[in-house]
Amino acid sequence: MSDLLLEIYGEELPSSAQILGEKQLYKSFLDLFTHKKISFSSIETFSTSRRISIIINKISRNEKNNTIEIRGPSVEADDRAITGFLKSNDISDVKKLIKKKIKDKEYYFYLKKVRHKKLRDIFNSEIPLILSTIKWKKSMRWAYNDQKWSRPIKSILGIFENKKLVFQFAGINSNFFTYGNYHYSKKKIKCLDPNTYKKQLKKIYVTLDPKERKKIILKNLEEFCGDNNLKFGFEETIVERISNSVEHANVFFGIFDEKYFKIPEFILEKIITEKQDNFCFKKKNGDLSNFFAFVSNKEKSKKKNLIEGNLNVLKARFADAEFFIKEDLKVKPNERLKSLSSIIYYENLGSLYQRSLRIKKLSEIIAGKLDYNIEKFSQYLIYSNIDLTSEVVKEYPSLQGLAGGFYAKKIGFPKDVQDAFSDQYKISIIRKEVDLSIILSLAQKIDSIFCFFSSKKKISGSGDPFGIRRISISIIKILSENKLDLDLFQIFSCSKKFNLEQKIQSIDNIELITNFLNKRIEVFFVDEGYKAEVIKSCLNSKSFNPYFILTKIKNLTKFLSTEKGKNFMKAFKRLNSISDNKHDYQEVDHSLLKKKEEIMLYEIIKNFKSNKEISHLRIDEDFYEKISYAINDFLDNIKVNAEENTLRINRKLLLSECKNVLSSFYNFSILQIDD
Amino acid sequence: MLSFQEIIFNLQKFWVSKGCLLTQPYDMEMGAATFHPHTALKSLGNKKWKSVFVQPCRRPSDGRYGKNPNRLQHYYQLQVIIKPNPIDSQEIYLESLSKVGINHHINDIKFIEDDWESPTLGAAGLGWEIQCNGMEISQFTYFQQIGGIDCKPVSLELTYGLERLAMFVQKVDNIFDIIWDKSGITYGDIFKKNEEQMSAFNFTYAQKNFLLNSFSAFDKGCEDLIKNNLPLPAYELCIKASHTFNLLDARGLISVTERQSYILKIRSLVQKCCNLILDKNE
Repeated sequence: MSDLLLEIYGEELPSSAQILGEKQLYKSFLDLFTHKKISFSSIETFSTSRRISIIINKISRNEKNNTIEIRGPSVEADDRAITGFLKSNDISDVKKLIKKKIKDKEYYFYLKKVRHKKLRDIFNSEIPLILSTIKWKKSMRWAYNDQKWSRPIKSILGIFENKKLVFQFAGINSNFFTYGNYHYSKKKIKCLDPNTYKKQLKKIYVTLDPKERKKIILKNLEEFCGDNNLKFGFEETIVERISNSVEHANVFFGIFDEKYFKIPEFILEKIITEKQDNFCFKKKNGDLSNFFAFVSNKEKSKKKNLIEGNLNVLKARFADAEFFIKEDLKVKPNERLKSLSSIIYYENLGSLYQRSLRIKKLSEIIAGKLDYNIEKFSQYLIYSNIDLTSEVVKEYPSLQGLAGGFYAKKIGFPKDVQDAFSDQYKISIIRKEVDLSIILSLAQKIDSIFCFFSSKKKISGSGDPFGIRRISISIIKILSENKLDLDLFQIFSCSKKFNLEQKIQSIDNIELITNFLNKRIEVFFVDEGYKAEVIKSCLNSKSFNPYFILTKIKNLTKFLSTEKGKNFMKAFKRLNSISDNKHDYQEVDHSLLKKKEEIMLYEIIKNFKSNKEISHLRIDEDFYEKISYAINDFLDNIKVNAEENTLRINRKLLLSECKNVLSSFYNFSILQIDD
Repeated sequence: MLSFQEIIFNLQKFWVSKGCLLTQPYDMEMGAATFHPHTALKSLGNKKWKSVFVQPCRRPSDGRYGKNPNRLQHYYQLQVIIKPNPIDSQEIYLESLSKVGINHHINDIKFIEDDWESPTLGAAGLGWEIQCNGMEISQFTYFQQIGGIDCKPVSLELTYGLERLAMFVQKVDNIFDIIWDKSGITYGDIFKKNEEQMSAFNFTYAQKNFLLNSFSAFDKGCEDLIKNNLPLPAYELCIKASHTFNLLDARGLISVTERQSYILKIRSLVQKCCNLILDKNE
């Protein structure tokens, strides 16, 4: 059979590498087959924790040989040139050449027959190239080998037409054998038939298809939930990750003592799912249950050892958490504030206590701008960072915020304050109306960005060790998703004032921050499907109001798709190519405008400038239609480069003025215009 | 049942039988055995190297005043470093476990993705955290970089958490109940008081100004030594700076953001040392 099987077997692959490896192998083989005009009936890819495989069925190709045309010298060329051409192409006689005319001149041509490379030879030469071009998120070298793979490769199974392929990758020769699940056997397995490969593996405890392993796990979990009256519902990504950690999925269930429920559920969940990669279960009412489950390659008969071991680890981790909470609760809130004052935030940017003071003040400013009455909560805001000194956060840094909310509850702070402390680091907060969570989250993120820039630290190409990019995106999301009108340029100005009041370092030029944020918002909205040039045309460095920017982007995108929009852009393009802004410092002299077209343009601009009602959020299509006509009329009928100097300058001034007015809300000049 | 010291003997004997040099701990405080020059510096360059040693480690912020059954601020790692890595590294590792009574046929040994990174050493490697029935017992890493320099060839670094391993082997729930030798002396007999007092020092009594001044002095001293072409003593000051940073961290004197600056400072020093060592071919 003309089937191809390739399996790269090696040491444990991360889950993400299995997914990515499968995808890229599929695409690379598809490209190869398309490029070489090879047909096939199906391509399937598979992966487990130790292997990535591809099977391609019923491969065939039209075996007719091709001919290619090689152009030789002109028929009028001297003998030396013709003999040289015959010799270099191994042609015995000039009669074997044909003549063809190109641009009235006749040339010799040779029709060379090209034999197809055998499919087997193509695979032998192309597979190593395919393997070397896979782009892993993280890849590695091992020993002396310079080629990279996600983890070290131990063997390569390569079969075509039931015979082994012969190639080498990463120092390993392809072969006709594979291995079973090493938890059960280390024996080599001969495999020459792609059609029996999956079945062969199944017998040796390898479930090759990730979907099948996931199905087995979910079925076990579902049955267990049914038997124990639990909610069935697990995050797809967690199931996938856990199922990809094995070659053969057996699910084991355990139960921990209810006494651990004195630890908050968010900490228990964190330990069970993130620290131990186990499943946790929710009761029907949404509370956490004390069951847990994990997946292993091992057979069920070993369950006693496995469950006992895993339970002991959970108990040890729970004991740790209990210890942290107990220690944390011994410390009074004001003592924690004191501790904050001895922790340096950034070099030359004061302590965490000073940061808490700034966050409180910024919260008040933002609340004022967003018409939120913050007065009754103001006194608590100084405590928003106290969880950073807690043992729980030191141990589980990702619980910062949640831990703050938990301790705020223990201290007896109002519910809004507890929630705001819990939510402050969340990337996205969506509310029907502004609340304390939104205010505090914005305040602490704005302070983070302002201080980062004040510290004169730099963000390198891909690295973001201080999480500034992530924080910026969060601000953009919160403001745009909740439709909040807040210009951060103004808030950063307040930040500057607060830093100076505290006598700590402060950035002078806030535009450096808005320029950085403009780049972030561009990336963010490009990902949302908007055109980069449209986004850019809605930005400026003197303000940063994500909700307004989004509204402008939406309106402009819509406008540009209309006939009026297209006509306007054509007119603007004409205007842009002729106006040079050379005399911007002068004013248009009204008395020099004589012709009706120039008076019309002048009047429209004047009206536009004096009309305070015009909002840059809404695009008045009628206005743009009117000005499109006016521009076209002007350019069609008026000689801009008039012979008289004053007239010429005045007309150019009028066009510059027109362009400047039009560019005051949108920078149309950077938009590409489709003719 | 194997005692703590027998576990060490058996692992050392096993790795010596695989051709490793039995070397000794480094006489400085360090957070992980990777800092030992026999690991960090011997991984540079292309000379072959095989070594096994036990290294006492200190992580001040892990102190629990001797009250937590699973945590210590001072503990032991047994480290194996082999350059280039053997082809059958995983199999040899599993064989080593059988020498301390862990049979991988009846226990669930899992290789969990753990791309190891030592930010202060500028070191990175790919590998796994190895769990036995859910408990982390080793780290298994193929070094890709040290001091920001590519490791060619690649070394294998294996780190056994000896206390975790002993707890598993001896089936005890509390570190302090680990039996050190056949006479019955426990880990707690030797270290409990140390944990109590050192935790107090790490969290409360380590002097802020002394630590801050020391860090600056190590930083400056290291730069001077590098200028004078002395990478080995300069590297020692990196180890000292790193431990001082760990103490500052445990005392809670550095914010999450400021931590990064300290880490970058130490990393840049280590990088300079490593470059100089390679230049001098030491």
